[in-house]
Amino acid sequence: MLKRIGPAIHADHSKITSEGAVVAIRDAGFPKPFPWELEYNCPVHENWNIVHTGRLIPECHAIYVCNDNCLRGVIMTADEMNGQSQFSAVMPNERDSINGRLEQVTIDGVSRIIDRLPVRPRAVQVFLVCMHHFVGADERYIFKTLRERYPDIFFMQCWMDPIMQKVAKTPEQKQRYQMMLPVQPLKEDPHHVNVLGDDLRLPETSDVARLLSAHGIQIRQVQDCKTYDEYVGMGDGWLTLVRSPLAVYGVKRLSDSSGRPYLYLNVPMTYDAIRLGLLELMKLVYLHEHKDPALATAEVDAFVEKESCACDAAFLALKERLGDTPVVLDYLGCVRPLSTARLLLSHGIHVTKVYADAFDPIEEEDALWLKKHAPELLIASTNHPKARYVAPVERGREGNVLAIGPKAAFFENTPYFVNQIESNGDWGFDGIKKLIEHMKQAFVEEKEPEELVPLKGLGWENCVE
Amino acid sequence: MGELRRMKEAYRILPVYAGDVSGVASALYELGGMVVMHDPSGCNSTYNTHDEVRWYRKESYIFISGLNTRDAVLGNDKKFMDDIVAAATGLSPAPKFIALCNSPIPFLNGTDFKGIARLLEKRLQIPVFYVKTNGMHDYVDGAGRAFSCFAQKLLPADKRLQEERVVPADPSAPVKINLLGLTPLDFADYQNVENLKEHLKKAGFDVVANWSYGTCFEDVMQSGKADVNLVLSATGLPLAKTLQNMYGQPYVAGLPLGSLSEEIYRQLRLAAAGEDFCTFPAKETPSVTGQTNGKTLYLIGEALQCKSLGYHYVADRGFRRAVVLCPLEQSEELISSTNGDILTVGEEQIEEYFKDMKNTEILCDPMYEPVLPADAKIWKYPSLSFSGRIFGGHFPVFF
Repeated sequence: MLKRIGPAIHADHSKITSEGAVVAIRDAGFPKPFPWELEYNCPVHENWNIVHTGRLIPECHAIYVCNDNCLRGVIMTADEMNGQSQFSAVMPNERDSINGRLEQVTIDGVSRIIDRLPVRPRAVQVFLVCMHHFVGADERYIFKTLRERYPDIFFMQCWMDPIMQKVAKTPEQKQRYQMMLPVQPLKEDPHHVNVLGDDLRLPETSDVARLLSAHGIQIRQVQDCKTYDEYVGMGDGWLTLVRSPLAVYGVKRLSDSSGRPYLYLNVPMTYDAIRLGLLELMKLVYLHEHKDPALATAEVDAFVEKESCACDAAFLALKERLGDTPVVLDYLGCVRPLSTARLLLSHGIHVTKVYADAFDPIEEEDALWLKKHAPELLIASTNHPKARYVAPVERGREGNVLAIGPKAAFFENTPYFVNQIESNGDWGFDGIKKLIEHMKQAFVEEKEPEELVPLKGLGWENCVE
Repeated sequence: MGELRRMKEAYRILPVYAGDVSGVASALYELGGMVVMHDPSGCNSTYNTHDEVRWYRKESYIFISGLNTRDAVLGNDKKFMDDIVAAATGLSPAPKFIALCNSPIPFLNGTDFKGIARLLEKRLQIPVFYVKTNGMHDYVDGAGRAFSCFAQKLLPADKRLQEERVVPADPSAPVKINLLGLTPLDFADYQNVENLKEHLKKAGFDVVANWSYGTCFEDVMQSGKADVNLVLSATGLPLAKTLQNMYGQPYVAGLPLGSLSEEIYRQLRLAAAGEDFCTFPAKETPSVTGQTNGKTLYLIGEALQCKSLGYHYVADRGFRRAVVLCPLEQSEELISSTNGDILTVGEEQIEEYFKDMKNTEILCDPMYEPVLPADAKIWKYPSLSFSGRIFGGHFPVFF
């Protein structure tokens, strides 16, 4: 008998209400509260996709090899962000796909594009697609040939193969790993730590950056690199930090091959979890400084004490402003939606609904806490066929709701929302304080969701007129 | 190594047109059914983000199946069917029909969509049909097939409608027409629909059905009552032929623009009266008696739109000649090779076509600019089907 090796799935979908693909958390399965069926796609597109992420590397060109329908989405993503000069495509036709010419068309098409570019790129991300898997295209032959033809270019073997994403590594995971490969180990700099694999920049105000700075350690990130050489130069970091669950796979592989440590700081939202993350980080720092890692505890605890007091005070002010206003949040705005709901509820904020279709298994403890302390909290699907019914423009607005995240704003049709994705790149107590400030501001500052949430890639230039 | 030959598959900088699956969804959007794209991910997002202007505010049952590799390899069509049944029986109001579209992987593994449609129809007792797509063609192909499939599956094959129509009509009564090929992909600004209907009304036409922007299932089901069809884009051409077969309705193709309007109206009246008429009045460049500016206007885009605009720019705006470059499928019969019109494939062909021309004038979507000569004068006509929503505030109002 086959044994399940993935995360446990406790799914009872019988309690999902027919009205809006909504289920109370006490009845919700974890980590998959809704069955995988037909999917609705709501008109909220602020998230980054592989085009946005790929553009973080300077002097890098992207070439996608796929058919019309798939190609259109990524091309328009690039065009809307004014990135067409760093983006090209090869579009095999039906005959190319089925008559064994796919490798050759891929190689020749990529070559033809490189030859015609006005500026020679330092690196090229080549994206193969589902079709390449299904016709058994020889990926190694494709890239071997390209590397031989263009030895001066660093090729990244990327995939846009969503057909694999529910049963294997997602395109994002594979891309982020490939994007890390130019950062090969250089002579180690003890004052230099990398943050790799995240879309959004970790701010200097973050707990991590401040604690490291106190030890004379600087953080380097791709978002700060102006040239490809600067990016390659990140190879002198002695430690790699990663916040995105999509990048852990790549960072771990990189760490395995380089022998240098990494740390997954998974954007915790509760005080205890933040403390544990900081403690783990500072123990590594102490160890690297040839000090007793146990000494890190005192430093971290002092920091946590001060920061948690500041957060408590900020929560009191937030509670005073919001009163019992319902707060809803989504998985796009918050990397850890359940942990965020738990944090807010435990500080008296009236969180009523979380928009999410599945959860990261790392949130299991938060799910259990919520089942016990806030069993009525609703989990609402954003892609269930019935989710379309809660699309609010037809339904109108029902009182004041404060939303965190663009999907929550859309579904609640509220002008009061924190327009952020991926927790805005913030982390720790610093992230909590900023979230509180953003919530206070959003509660008094009306925004029009229809003007904002359909735009792609929040934070990038946008050309939509 | 030497430079590789020109490749139609390579797109250094231009986007591609909306795909066939987007065409299907756009065509059927307002007709009360459910469209299911058998695709892992992305087709619906691409469609509703870049190829559709109605998604935020107007309800439509358009879904993807979320196909994964395991089900694709093992041929698990049961999940696909069960999911469709679950959605169709759970939604209220229930869909009036279900249209299935294909994407590259189900195309490659030979999924039997016709069989699936038959089984679903049996289980659900509502019409189910397959629109032959595979994600490798453009929206003209997809929308054209969708309109035609819908008509064949759902329109009543009532010969009486045809008989009623051949009885000589009262010459003073309005001519009843259907508008075919009217989707946001070619006419994104809804003002086009409003204005066109108003112009037609003033010219003595009564619109029976609009296929299909600002319409509904009940309206298009009346299509058989029209005397004649007006085709407004290449997406409407297969439907025109289907309706001709079903009801004997003749059709005239072209956009009523400037002096072309009167010509199109005249041909519609002739066709409705059963007299000889010209199906495609804009196919050849009109002969101009007055002074011209001596220039040729080149137009790139959807064939019928470009031919009609070309006619208009020659007849009314002083150009000597208009030549169309059409990068879309199913358009061969709409252009005129004797006029110099060509079908193009890929961006390099367009780039090469213009590379030695000086001070030329080109009417096209602004996204074509990077492959056109720097000294060319561009007449900007953004199209949802090409530049998506990027120039959303500047979609042309033709009528």
